[in-house]
Amino acid sequence: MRYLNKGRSAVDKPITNRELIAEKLTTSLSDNLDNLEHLLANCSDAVIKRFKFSKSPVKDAAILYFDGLTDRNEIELNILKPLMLEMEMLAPEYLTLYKAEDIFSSVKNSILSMADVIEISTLQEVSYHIASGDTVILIDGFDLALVADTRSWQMRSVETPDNEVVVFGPKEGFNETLRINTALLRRRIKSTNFKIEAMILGRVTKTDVVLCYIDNIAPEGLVNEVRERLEQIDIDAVLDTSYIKELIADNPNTIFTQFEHTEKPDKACSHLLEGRICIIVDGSPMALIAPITFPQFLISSEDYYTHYIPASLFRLLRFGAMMIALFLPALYVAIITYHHEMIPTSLYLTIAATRQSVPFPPFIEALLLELTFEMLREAGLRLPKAVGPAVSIVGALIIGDAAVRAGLVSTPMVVVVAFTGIASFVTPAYNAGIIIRVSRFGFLIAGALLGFLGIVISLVLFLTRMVSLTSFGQPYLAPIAPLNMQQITDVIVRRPWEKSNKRPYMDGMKNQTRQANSPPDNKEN
Amino acid sequence: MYRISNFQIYCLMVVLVAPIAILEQPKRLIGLTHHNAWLACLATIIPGYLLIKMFSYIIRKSHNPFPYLLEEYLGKLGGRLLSFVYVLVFIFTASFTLSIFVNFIITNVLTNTPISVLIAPLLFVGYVIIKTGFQSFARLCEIIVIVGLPGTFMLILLACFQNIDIANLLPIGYTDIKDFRDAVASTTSILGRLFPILTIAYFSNNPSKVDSVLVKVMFTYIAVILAPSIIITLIYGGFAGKMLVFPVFSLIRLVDIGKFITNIDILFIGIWITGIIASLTLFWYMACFTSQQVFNLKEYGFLAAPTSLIIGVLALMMGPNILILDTINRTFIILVYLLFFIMIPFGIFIMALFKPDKPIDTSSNSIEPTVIM
Repeated sequence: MRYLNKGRSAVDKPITNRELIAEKLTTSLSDNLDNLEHLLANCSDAVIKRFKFSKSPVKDAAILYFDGLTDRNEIELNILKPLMLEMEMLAPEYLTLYKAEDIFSSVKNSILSMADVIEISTLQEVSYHIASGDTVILIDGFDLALVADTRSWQMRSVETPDNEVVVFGPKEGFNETLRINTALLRRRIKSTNFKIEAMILGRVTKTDVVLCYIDNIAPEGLVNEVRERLEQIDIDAVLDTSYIKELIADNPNTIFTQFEHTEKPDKACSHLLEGRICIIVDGSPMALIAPITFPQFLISSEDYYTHYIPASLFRLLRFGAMMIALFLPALYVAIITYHHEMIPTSLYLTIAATRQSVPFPPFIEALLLELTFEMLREAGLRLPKAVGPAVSIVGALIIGDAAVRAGLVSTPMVVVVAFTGIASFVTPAYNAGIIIRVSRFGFLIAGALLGFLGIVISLVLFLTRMVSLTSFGQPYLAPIAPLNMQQITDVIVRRPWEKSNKRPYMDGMKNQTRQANSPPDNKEN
Repeated sequence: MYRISNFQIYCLMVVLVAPIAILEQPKRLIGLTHHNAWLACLATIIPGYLLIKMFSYIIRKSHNPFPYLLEEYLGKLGGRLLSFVYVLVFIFTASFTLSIFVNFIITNVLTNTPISVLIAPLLFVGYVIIKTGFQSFARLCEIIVIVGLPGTFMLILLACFQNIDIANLLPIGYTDIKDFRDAVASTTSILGRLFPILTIAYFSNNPSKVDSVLVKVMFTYIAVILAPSIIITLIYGGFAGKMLVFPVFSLIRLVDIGKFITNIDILFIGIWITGIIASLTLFWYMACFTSQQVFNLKEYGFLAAPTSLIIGVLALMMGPNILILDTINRTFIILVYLLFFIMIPFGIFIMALFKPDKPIDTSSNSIEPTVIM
């Protein structure tokens, strides 16, 4: 009401916040403050401090900030103190001395001892900056405002990521603060070609998002495409990178994720150096990497910190584990139900003996155990850290043992499901683990319905879906399909650094040279 | 228009010829030429090479891919009519592939399973692949060949560690010339299944190398038949070998690893099924693609559903009676291959001989087929 009485006729419709925020600042400080008070109504953390400064003439001014997002010491020492105590510097003779056009530019250029001070002119910009932790300074008589960077809030320190544990290599992980995350990348890539483009996404949240790439490596088409897709996002909130992932993916309606998530800056850097792009969202400790292919999910960053021979063996082990995680329960059910002759008679008789008292067919038995295992896994993740492992142990050992003793499930099935569970943990990327976990149920059903034939048919469908997918135009199963002999050697095994002269090929990559003994015409500057 | 790599073309061609041949051809060769089956295999190199040279020549001289090239050589009406006949031939070939598969599965893998239960999922998979597009299909074939070909050879070669008798391959020269000729003709006729190259070569990103790709396909095909033919003869001998219903299958059943892992034939079946799916789908794709061109349709994807019904019903009609299938397999199918995949292309080849060379830039006057990729 106060706003309406002062600014507009009473018969006018009440102005909405949306209309108000689009307006520009006026030369009247009181009008500007009224507008802002209207916008910030019921925001108990908003602070508006009015004060006077300068001698002749005395000027009215105000600062605005959100408590908790700013460093109060910095406001007092670098904004209020210079303005209020060193105001003699703003006398006309000093203005002449500093060759300033007016008080406003003098404050900006000479008084505020801040590294980063910018000018803004709209209420929208004022609201964005104070919500980001900056302090806005309004001076009477000017339709502009100054923004001083005073951001400071409680944040998680740089810690070891929980989801990507490594034995060798850097242990640092991203946290929820965008600028710290970009600094972690910048510290590793000390090149002016490393670009960090900023944009704001989310109509309500106004989330800071950055697109990172190395200018003289990443394909221009890829960078433009990602930028374009990001700019097209029109959503109220972006609270995590996952929001963006679904909105910009080539094929969003599939469980096959077309991005890699990482909490490790070293891993993000290695992808950037291979011409990929990285998207980081303020408030999320996960960086999105694109384009990505499925075989890359089986590559751990640690592979590159260990000798190539053990690294290659571990990689082969991971491929094998993935196969086990995908197919073992389905194969077991298919063999027990349809293809007894595949296993030696003595083994089959042992299995048959353990199954004698089990009331369920193998498929139901496998399904129940798999679902129980998934429940235990979910419970272990969601429960407090102190309780989680205990639940897993109780579930796995006590319930499993009790189920076998009660004759509800057979011992070989417990072994199969447990082995499958262990194998599914071998996959380094959690995303790929989800694909494997979900697909396993499909193979299990197919194996129970049609035996080996069912498994093969579902495998063909699985592969058909995978080969039809792309991640920003990059075939999802590359370099296996389409086959690229040069790159496949660095997917199945880890190529020694000595032989890694070229970066993995990508359409439009600007510079493929990785190390000095490559052809000289393509060397990086 | 999307281009596919020559390796993808190689894989597509291998899945066309190898899966059916590996199951059927060693038996047929041993049946006709006994211990000289391997010689008949090697002898196929000569007519096989001539056949692929014929295909290469047609590709080189023609402005348009199949089925447009029929109009190019036979006129609009004649070309269209023959293209329509080819649609039926492709459907028949796809159905035959499907019923061979069903016959094998109900005999060896899932006995007492209703045929329709087996046919339906296969047709569903084929349908999904066709709807996904040719580009994805080419990539799928790459995986099938990369995994399947070495896997098959490994399984067959494992059988070498069983009791073999080198004397079973002797005497080399003792054979009936007529049977030997029939064996070579039947092995060559399978190479007629490479006929879709007249369409697929058009999508190559390096058309000048298609010729060498076909040569590699032929040698792969020869190797795929030669290896089991030799090993079956070595183990069972020429006369006992021909008594087996599926000699390759019996051969792999013999394999055991450390007296513990036995009956690994299921692995072979797994690989074989993927090959059969690809083979079936490629002929099915050819039927849909040719129909699209014959009837001037905008796309072929929607034809996948109705043609699946025709293929399924035809396979059911051939499938239940093993005698009908065997008769089709021994006589009719070879005639179909000879007529439609060898003789008619040979006629086109003769006409191409008298045709002026294709201009270097044909983009302006060639017909661009509409393809979903």
